[in-house]
Amino acid sequence: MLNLTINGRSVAVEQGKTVLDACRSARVYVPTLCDDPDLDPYGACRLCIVKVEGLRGLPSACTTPAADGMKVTTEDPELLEVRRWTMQLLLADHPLDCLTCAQCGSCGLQAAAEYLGIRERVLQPMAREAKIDDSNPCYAIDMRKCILCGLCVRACDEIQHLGAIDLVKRGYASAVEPFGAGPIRGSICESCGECVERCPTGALTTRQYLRPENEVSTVCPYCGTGCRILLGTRGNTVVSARGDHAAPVSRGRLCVKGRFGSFEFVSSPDRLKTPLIRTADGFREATWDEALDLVARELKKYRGDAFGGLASAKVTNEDNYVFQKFVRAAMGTNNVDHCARLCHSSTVAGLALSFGSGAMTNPSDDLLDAEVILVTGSNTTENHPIIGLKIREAVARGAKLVLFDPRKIQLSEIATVWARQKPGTDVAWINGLLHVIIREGLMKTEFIKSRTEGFEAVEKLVAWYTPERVSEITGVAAELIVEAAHLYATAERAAIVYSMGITQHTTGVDNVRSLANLAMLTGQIGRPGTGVNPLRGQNNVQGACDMGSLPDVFTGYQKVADAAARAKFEKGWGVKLTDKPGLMVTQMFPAALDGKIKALYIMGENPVLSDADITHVVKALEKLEFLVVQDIFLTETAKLAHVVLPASSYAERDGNYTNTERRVQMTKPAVPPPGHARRDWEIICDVSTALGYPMSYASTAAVDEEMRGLTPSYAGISHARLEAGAQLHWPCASEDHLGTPILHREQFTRGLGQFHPVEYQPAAEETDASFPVVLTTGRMLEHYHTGTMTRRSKGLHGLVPGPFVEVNGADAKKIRVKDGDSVRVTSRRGSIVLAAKVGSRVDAGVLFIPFHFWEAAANVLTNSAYDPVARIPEFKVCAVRLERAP
Amino acid sequence: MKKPGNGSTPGKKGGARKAKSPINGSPRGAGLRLDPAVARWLAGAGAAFPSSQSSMIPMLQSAQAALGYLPRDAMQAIARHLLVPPALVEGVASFYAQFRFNAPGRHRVTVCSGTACYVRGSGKLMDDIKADLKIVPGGTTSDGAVSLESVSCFGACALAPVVVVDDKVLRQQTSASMKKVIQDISAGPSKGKARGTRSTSAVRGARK
Repeated sequence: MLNLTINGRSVAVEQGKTVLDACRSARVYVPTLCDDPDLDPYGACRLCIVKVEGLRGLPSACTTPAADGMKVTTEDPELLEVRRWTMQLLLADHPLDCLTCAQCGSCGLQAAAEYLGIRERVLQPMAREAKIDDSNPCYAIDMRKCILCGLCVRACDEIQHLGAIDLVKRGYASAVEPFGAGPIRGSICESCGECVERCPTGALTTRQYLRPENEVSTVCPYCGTGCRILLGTRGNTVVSARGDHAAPVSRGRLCVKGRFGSFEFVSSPDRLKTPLIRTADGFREATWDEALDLVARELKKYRGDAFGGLASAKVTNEDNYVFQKFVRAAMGTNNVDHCARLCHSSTVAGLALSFGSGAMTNPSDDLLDAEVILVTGSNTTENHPIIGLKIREAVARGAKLVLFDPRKIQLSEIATVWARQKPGTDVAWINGLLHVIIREGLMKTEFIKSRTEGFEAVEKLVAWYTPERVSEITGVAAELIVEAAHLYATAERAAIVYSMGITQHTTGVDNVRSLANLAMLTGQIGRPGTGVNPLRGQNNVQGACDMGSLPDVFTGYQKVADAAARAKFEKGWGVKLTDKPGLMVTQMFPAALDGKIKALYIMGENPVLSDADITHVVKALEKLEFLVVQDIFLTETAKLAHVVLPASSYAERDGNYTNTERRVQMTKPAVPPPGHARRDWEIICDVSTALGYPMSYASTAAVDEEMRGLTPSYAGISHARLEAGAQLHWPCASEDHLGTPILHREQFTRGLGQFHPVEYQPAAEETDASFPVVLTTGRMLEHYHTGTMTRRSKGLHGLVPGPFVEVNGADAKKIRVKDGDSVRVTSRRGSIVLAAKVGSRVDAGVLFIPFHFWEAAANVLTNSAYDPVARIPEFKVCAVRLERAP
Repeated sequence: MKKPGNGSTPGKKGGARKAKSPINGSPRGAGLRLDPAVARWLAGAGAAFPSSQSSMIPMLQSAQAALGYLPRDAMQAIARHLLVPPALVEGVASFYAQFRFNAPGRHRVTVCSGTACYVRGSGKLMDDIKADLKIVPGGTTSDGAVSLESVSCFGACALAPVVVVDDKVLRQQTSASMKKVIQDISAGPSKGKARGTRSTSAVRGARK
């Protein structure tokens, strides 16, 4: 410890702290404008000047390292005078329109001027030529108010690891600009808003913002990263959102969706506020009693396997628990599934076969410890942006990135090896890596011997996959295969990160098992900085799976076919349960078409846009005798329902979410649900009770108590522990267990890790003369899923207002299409017209369409052919034709 | 401990702030389609520089010497080479008066605005030249013929007011004589021909 004297008061600080830190420890206020706890000291604003005995001049406290025995004076007439003049210089060209400035009340400049007792502007104002950049719909830039403190530039560099803006020119012409002078909209800016959050003045301000009366910490409703948002409220309206610095996963950081697009939809006038009942020409409003009566009366007719339920990855663990219990106990069937079928069912199945547990093995912060990160099939910086930041941070600290992705995504710019495989050839290149590692003796023989089984079969199979043969299949140069294998195998700690580019294939389970082979071969698992890390796509998709919203398992992946498990649940729920695994999402729609499923209950999902080959899905839903949809908006799916029940959004709920790292996080409601909308689990309880299977819980805590009594992996995750702030990753066997951030440490969940020999098989649909181009689909940074939430945000909608298809310049030229022109994309199942985005993000012969837009729904085109084990459709590959639209 | 910042005024450049944005670590990832002239420079002189931030200013100088100015592509190519964001390269380059960001005209007219020249009428002279060319100092005529610049002192005060046209020093200029000079160079196709005026070989190159 270092002992300092600040204004005669003694204070001790740790080695490495600055004089400013010491002042703060001594509770002495020193004005600053350019200091931020998340950023390196900079020393630009000159307001934190102090006097240090024995040092000449007036050093800035933020850049002066604290030293033992230092005697510091923070305030005397001379310091005050100098600070006042510094402030006068800043004010000389600063507009004095404080009352109407968006930053009024939270302005750092205002606060400092007030503290220094500035009463007038003494310098003659000079008109500064400064730009107003109105191009970004999320935030406004008014450079007249910029004081050049550099916080925005440093935030973009040190937090976002992007460097989209910098200080340009000198002297009076100095300004903050993106490369090429702007506008910011055309730059590499990702609109994350870290700069806006830090700007002390009105130079950078959020467009949709009112100062909140109260703030509540919630879990972001979008991807599975598990960032926390502080939602600001006034009365019953959410008026602001910012990052929660106390959040363990995100530490205050948010992406454009979380910061600028997470709350407008909550108070949208389109929210469902009362139950709706189908009439001959649309819907009529109904009371809850009437609607529940109708639902109960109808559903009574379809008990058993004629009924199916779709749970949701957007609602809490409690909602999912109650829902699957309702389907199993009240409706007497295991026909319950949810959209995890469409994203990571191949992970759940594949990793369970290899390791015994189908979840992300390591926490996301572990990526910062990795020497090599192998990313494949994950556009991380767009789809899991805060985990993307961790990858960028790791690379900035010296980690090497190996990327296999057919698209030129942002990560390709910082990758040491970027291989552009043909979509659908993943097993081939992974086998190539295995081949090289075995050929060159880079595998961890000891690990293979003591921790795994089945290696010999893999060794034999991959002998065929020489880099040259792999190159022919995948289009990736043989040297890249060799280099990637070397980097991954020789690193002390190497982590695999993947997402739907791996899972959404007819060979999804094979792809996942191949990655598991790679990790086991090199022993890159069970330690910090390693692992096989599937990034889950929705904020509670992990939780929905854990809660048994799957047709073959109860909570905690206890098999319905297992008699002991069944007996436990029968006892807990007081009802006889069936041992027959139910139908999956991708089987329910064909079954509905065949008349085997007659009634569906859909909670918070929109399969009419999200599932493959949606023309088929719509036909199936129309054929149903009874469809109940419980949602927050009248979605494309809800429009087909017989009864629509209004539910609550994430801002109106309490309960728990389980993020992609298996971390269980509690959330609290910020506002009450609008109108007559109710909590999902309460609605389900009422429906079940009306059906003759009474369910009622006093609170979400009561639901949790019942759930964890039946679920070994959640047994120790109590409401009280979460309330107290415990960070628990399942499995957590008892209330004194600290949770399991890293899986498979001493041994795999299944005992020995299982190698699986996996042969490459081409995609279900290959290109031919009439459909010569490969279409791959996915998400993008600014939108989420079927757009129900993000497209109601002015900012996000402004950034990306409509559908588009990414086309390679060479392909565009062939059909004489320029950027922005309309094109028609046709597959065997349908055809859509949308704008072409011409560039080099996709290779020639490949197209990419984000699936968020109903106007040109990508899933009209996609192939519903699915993986034989996981039944996940092949969203990532189908054959299409590209034409100029008239 | 935390690395102390550069402890000076904002805008202080020259690599004091080390970029933490790992933009580009991959020569293979460089899918940049460059202007052919920039690509030629990068393949030749540019490639010789080590990929370290201390190469930034020498690379900018080398690019400007080869290309006459710093086009956007050149700064982007340098950013790729040094593994830093392009905005940082532009930030550094724009701090120094020696770098130009627009293609220079075929002829360069530099008017001295030092004390001696000013008292002998260079202010009026500059105003007339500006009106004549319809550009301000730092600009280039729309036909690309003439770039206009102003300097503080040539060190040739005895010849005031001094104007330098390309590499020729023209002494004791008047608005009328300059009008003629500009007419000539605007019409003439080639560089360095400032005919019909008195030039003084004794001070040629004085500005260097």
